[in-house]
Amino acid sequence: MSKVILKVESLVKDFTIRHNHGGMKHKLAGLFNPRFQERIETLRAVNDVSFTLCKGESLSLIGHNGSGKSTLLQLVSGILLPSSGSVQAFGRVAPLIELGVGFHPELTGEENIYLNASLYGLRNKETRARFNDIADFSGLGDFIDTPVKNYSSGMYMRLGFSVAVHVAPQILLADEVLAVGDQDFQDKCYQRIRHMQEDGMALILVTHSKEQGQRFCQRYLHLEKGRAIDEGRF
Amino acid sequence: MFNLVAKEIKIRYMGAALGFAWSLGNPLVVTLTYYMVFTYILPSNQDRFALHLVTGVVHWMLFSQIILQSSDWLIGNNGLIRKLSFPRGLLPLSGALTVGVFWLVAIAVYAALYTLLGGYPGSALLWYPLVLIPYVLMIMGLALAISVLQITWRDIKHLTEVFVPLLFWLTPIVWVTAALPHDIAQIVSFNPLAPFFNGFTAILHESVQPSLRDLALCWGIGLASVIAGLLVFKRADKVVELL
Repeated sequence: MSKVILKVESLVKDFTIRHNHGGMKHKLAGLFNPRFQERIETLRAVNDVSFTLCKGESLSLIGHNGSGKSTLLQLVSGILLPSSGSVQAFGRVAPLIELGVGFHPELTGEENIYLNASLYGLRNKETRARFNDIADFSGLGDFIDTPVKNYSSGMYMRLGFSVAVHVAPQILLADEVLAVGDQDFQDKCYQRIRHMQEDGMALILVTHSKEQGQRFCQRYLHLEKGRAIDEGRF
Repeated sequence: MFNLVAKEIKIRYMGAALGFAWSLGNPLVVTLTYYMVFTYILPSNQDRFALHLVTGVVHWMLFSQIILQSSDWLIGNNGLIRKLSFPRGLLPLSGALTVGVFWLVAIAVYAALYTLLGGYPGSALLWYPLVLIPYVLMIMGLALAISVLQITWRDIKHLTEVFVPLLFWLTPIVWVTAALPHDIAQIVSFNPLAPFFNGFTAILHESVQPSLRDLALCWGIGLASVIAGLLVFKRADKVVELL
């Protein structure tokens, strides 16, 4: 049995939803008219979910909108703290929730690569060593030294994707963003992910389409209303 | 973190022909206008009043800029916080360092004009770091706390915008502590910023060692503030979902 790289145990996340939350004016009105009263509701977005992931394994999270997939991803990446339960990760976790987070439109592609990579926890020296790979992979050519604001949306996503897959994560958490750009680039993404999986990277992919899940992952976990209702292998 | 600071500085002067040189502009104009006004137009009967004023204003700038910006450190970067996992402390640190870099430019201008304003560079300057360090600690503690509290109570930003200018007038910058009537001096001595500014005035204006009481107060307030700030900041991870 290969090495366990991620262990998630009976994870629960509650959100507090406030209806009619307003300032002092609202509070005052609420004293007289129940229509303005604040109601607080607790929403259990993730309910008692457990799984483990070994080196090189991949898991796709499937479910409808609002079933808790993205919240689970945020919990695993450490962005949100769980209400109860635990997440143990051994190695660098790279959340890829949205492409090009933290890009600044006025900065050039090159400057944004350094900035973005450092937010993923890379030192500038490490980024420099990978810089050519990142730039080549994105296929931006001469555009790499122009401000990102001049990029087309496809170029923007390609750059974001290139940085994220070159930070050498042990666990990649992707929220429906594994295939971006035109057909050529999508194939390139696919190959790259495959390659990284062979090198032992674990992958969690959030998707609504079983097809895409099947393309990248061996296992699936079906969520509904925050609960894991089904799990297995493709 | 260095990248975040570099980003802020680059963006600020992007496209301006004179670039970073502009950061000299504001401190230079402030210092020289105060000097002209209080030496030639409204000569004050206080000893080297322009020096006292500029010393206070330059140090005040650090406090007011950091405190006023601190409420945006986390909220303004919510996209980053909710989509990437990195140590949250980087955001306040880089925000403060960006202000710090520009402040260093202001201090350099101040130092260059110091003798013109009538200051005597002497051995009293050795005490300067002993007041500046707790001053920075005090500011950072307060700013860290504000950046987190702003997430839950969005009134904090407005509160700081009202009280920071008020605090300016309660701090010995425009007036001199020794010139105050006794009972007013007593009220003002409760201002936690007063010992720092008394210290700066003693060192830079009177060129003497600051009183030990002020020094002790500076360190006490500075350390208490930074510890409290760090404790509050530990809550940052818990309020991410409220961003």
